[in-house]
Amino acid sequence: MKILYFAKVRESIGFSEENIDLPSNVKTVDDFLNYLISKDKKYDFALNNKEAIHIACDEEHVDKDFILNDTKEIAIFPPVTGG
Amino acid sequence: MIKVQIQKKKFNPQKILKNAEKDKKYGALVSFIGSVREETNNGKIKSLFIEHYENMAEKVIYKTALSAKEKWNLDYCYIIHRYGKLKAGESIVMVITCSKHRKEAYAANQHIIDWLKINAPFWKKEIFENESKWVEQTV
Repeated sequence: MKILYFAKVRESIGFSEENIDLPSNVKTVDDFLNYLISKDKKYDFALNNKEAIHIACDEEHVDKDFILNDTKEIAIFPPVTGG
Repeated sequence: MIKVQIQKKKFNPQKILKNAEKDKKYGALVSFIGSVREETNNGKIKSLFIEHYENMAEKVIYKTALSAKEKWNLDYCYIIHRYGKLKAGESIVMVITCSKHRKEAYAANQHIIDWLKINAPFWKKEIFENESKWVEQTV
């Protein structure tokens, strides 16, 4: 699955995208965030304040309980500041 | 008609407005321009860097313009948003809404710009002389 990182999250993790094979126990966005957080310190630093992390799956905003069934791309970012 | 443009290069608000005004059937035209402030709460800025999620930005902004068009019965809705490095005073965003009467054009325009602030996938970073700071979301 293609994972994209933006803004402060991208800076903390150190790159803007990567491909990750989801472990079988990862069903939801929240599971995926927990998986990343447990994977490495840099993810933990970037994502541990989950309230401040927003997610888009296949270019649509989603909640943390969204089920990653046919998702092809996950974007992880801080609250947007458009306009 | 709906038009959404996301671009790196500068745009000319007067030229865009002139184009929108060509069609006089509207009755009411409301135009909003958001620009880079010279001074923010954090001090005098050198420039503003705007990061964006290209595919998503275009898609969600178009969708919002379409729903605003339907809700307020707009005849015309134009949204342009920049990304990249901008200098103080440069325009970041412009929203034009046109309808038969002013009430609808005003309401739709405010709705769109408020929506962009909290939903459009852009992130602003203020660049100062010796540091830089990501802008926090404000509603």
